[in-house]
Amino acid sequence: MSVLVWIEQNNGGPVGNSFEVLGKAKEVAGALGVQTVAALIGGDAANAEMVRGYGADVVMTVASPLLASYRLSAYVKALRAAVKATGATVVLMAATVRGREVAAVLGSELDAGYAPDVVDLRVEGGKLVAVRSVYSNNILADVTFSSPVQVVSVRPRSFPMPEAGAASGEVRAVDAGLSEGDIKEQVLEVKSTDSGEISLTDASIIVAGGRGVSNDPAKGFELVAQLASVLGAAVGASRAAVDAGYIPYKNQVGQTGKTVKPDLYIAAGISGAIQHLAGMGGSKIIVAINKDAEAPIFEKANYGIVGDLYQVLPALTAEFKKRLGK
Amino acid sequence: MWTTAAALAAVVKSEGADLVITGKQSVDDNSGAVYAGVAARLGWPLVSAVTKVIEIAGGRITVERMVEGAQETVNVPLPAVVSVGKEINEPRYPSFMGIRKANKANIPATPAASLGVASGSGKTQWTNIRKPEERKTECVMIDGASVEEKAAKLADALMAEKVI
Repeated sequence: MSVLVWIEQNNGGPVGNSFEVLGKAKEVAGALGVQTVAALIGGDAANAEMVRGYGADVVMTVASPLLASYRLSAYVKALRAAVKATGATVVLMAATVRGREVAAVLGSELDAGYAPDVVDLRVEGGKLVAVRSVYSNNILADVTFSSPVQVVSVRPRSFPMPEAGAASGEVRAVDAGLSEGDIKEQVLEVKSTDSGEISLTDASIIVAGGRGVSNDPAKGFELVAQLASVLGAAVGASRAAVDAGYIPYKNQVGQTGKTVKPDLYIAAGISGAIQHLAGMGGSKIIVAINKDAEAPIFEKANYGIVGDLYQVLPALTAEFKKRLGK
Repeated sequence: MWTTAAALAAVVKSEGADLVITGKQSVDDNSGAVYAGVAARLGWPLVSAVTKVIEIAGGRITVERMVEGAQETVNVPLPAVVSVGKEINEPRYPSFMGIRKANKANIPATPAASLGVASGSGKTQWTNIRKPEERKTECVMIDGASVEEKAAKLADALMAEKVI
């Protein structure tokens, strides 16, 4: 028996969120009295060495030229081979776009209980309990399972990033018996959209803009991006800004966008509609910058500046440049 | 969720569809799992998070999808299941004629049992359903004679919070 974590790889390296999950998996496995397995599918063999630093008992690799680029059906088959080889009863992964589809298809194929996008995990009476945050993060529910295998995807930044230590754990390999004929997807192109920007779900700091930039949206989001750049932050936006076409949907934070959990969220010109608060209310510290002193965002914020974002943002950028020596 | 997926898969089969298009996830429990279950039960390829359909030709579909940090162009044979994101389309408003037609539409209901779907118990149970702890904050308003002074005060506060 084991608790198995799929270590997702993207742009050549393991995805950091996978290690957050692995850190928690060790705790869960300890409470269940079973081993922790990190499953590495495709990718560079050198990554297995790196994964060994995160303390899984076993690093299970599934290697094949057919796994060179991510393809859902092939990766699910590979993961099933790893699950079988290690007798995994709990399968965990980060709830990224790929993680969520892999988990759902795996769960369905194994007819297993599946808890998506959970925010916490624990073991009670020898059984796994997953905590889900639903209804726009207005309701928490404990999910228990009645299936022998349990599949869970974990919302990014739900658990702290563990420190890498000395490589330990045994590296094993399993053959998934893949053949090209069985894989239906052809990947024609993978274009990186990662122009050095930090992704919202990974970010420890987010600077976001909203309807308040409407006087000059291009300038407004340039100011947002400049502050983000000095702080090493990701750029977010409210739905109003996305719907108005000021910025792409991938930047949207909120009920119909991304749920984020940074240490610091700076909301500039965002009034704080409940749908937006649903997506960022889990932030540790919220700063609101708004012309309207009555904006609801101030009720959820730790710090507020009533003022014009076109003046406040450049002043903050200059101030942090000075402080951070940039 | 797998019971729902099995029922939908049975309907898809009986309708003889070649392409199933679904949304991203329900707005209540946000699972994003049912379409995966439909694809798995039908044994059809699944492409999720699709932002654009490029082409349907020669019994195959080519789509673009977004994942973290990358855009993939994927081609799969039909029949297939495709789940789409918000970027796929600007929804149109229903027309007056459309609404009138919808009023008279016949919506057939099929009992799950006649589709061969057992409405058994799920594999997961929800318990201890509760409101999360309310975020209690006392908003500290940063005042100052100039915007520079406000910026400096906020920077002091954020550095003291150790979030920067």
